[in-house]
Amino acid sequence: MKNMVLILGFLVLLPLVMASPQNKELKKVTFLPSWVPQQQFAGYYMAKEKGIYAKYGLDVTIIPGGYRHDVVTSLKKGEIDFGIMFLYTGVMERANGAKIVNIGQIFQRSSIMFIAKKSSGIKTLKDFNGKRIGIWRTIAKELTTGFLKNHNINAEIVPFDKGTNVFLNGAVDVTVMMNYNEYHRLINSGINPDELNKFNFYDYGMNFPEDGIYCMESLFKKDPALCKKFVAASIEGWSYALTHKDETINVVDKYKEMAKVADNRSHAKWMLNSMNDMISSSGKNVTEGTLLESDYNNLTNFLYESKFITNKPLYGDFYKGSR
Amino acid sequence: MSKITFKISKPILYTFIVLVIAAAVFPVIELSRMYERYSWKKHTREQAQAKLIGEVNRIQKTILSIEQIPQNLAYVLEFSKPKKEHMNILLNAVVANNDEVFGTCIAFEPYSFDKDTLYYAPYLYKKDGKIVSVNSSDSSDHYFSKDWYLIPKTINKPVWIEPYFDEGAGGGNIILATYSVPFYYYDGANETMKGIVSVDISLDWLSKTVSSIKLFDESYCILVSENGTIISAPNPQWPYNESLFSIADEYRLPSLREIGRNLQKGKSGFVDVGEFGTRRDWWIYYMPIPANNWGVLLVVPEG
Repeated sequence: MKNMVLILGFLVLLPLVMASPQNKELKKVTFLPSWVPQQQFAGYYMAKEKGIYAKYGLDVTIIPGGYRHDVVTSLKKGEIDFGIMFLYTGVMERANGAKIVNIGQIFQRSSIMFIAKKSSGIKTLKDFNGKRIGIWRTIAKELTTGFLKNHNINAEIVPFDKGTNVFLNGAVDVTVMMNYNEYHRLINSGINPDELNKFNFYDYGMNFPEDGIYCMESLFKKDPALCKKFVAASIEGWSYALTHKDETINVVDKYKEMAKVADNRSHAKWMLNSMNDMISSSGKNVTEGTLLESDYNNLTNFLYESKFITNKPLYGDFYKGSR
Repeated sequence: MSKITFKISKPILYTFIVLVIAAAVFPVIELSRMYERYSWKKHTREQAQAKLIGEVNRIQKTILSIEQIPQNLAYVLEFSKPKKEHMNILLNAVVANNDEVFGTCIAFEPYSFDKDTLYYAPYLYKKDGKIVSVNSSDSSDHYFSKDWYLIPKTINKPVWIEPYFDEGAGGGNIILATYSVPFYYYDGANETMKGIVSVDISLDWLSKTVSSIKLFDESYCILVSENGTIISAPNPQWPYNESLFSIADEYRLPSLREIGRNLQKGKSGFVDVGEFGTRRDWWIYYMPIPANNWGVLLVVPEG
């Protein structure tokens, strides 16, 4: 009798087990973050690590980003299904004819700033004139040069690849940085916060959202459900990451080690804590992952007026996420 | 008038006498112990200081001799303006004859070597016991915006670049530090910067040198760069990942941050850091390496 109950129980549960996502054939997709493994992408790594992508029926391969992997090029070549890009990059590419679409706007605000040592005497934007200003050679170039142009700053522009050495070695007086990354690296190089003057772009009317999830328009048209699943799972991954920070730091560390990325726990904590601020839509009254039309219009107007684009892609053509 | 008398029993009297003697002797013993501890501490700190001064002088000499390599190469370039084939011979000689040198490069300003060539930068490095040659003339290298080229060019003087993992021609798995020197051509009236000579130094030899410095069995040394990046330490996770400042933050050791800032100012000194990764108290003697503004910390357990 006891055996009979067990067998019946097994037969009842069997269809449920068979229907669980782990046993369904998972849809293989590839995903390229815009940079090397770091907490900036913690939500995606956690979605993979904690089986959240699998729960949504996805088998996601995360390719470590970096100089050798450009997201737009990889999307256009069909090498990846999804990628992370700054909103401004997405708009510029779309305006220049690339058929890419934004399917989820993860970061809701700007983290870019210019920074100067107080000892340099640079206190206001006017003090930038005649100085050497470091900007990234490839990243956010339009935002940084547009910022300087809009404020009529006449300075020597020094394009550099990455990091803080150009600033620390005195090759530039002012440099571009992200608050969640290079700024803290400066602090961990021995400069105290009260020795620096920060010029946050969001204080100058340029609070443009940053990281969003992109794919080719053709993929979205062919399989919109797949795109929605990827975004929903990624947002759930972020939710997990921000509520399990120690575990998240350990997981991302594993990916950093594989990609030989130098980092430490102090910086990882700073970056992960900063992500709360980047993702939360406080004051915007939107659900996570949404690109507000007003944010989109602010950015496209800036790019158009600064002559970085000659046409403004329509919001509805560019953004395919939830509203 | 009656006389008041106290009667004290013998045991109480003896106890009282013992207590009085103990009260008098105990501070003396304790003072003597404190003096002993002070003398020992003073002695070991003098030993630490003497030891580190000697070692830092030794490292300083080696670093200065390494700096001489690209400086000499820059002089040769300035006076002889060699052709392509001669340049390769020069670079080959530098890599082959200097054990510490991993690779060396002569990188020219845009259209400077040849009026039709934007990028020209022959680079020779060691790989699997051989010397391999590449030319960073590929525009994807963009060497003009890399630290090793951009910083000495902009500040117009030789500079040590922060240690990094080799991601380029070296094929990875090696921590390098680059010393870069600008070179100039003089046309009789004006001096124009023509490019940068750089040498990539494998930090293995320096790590070994520093890790061999010991005052006692449990003491150890840490080597840091100008920005506080750890180059050598007994904890294998620290080099290149951590800086003195990130560890100060993680372990909540403000004194360690102070050491880092003092080294950047060229200062040396002793600091009691308290518990430092273990449940023991430690003290540190730190000293800058003036040649390149790096620093060495001798970490010693208390007691």
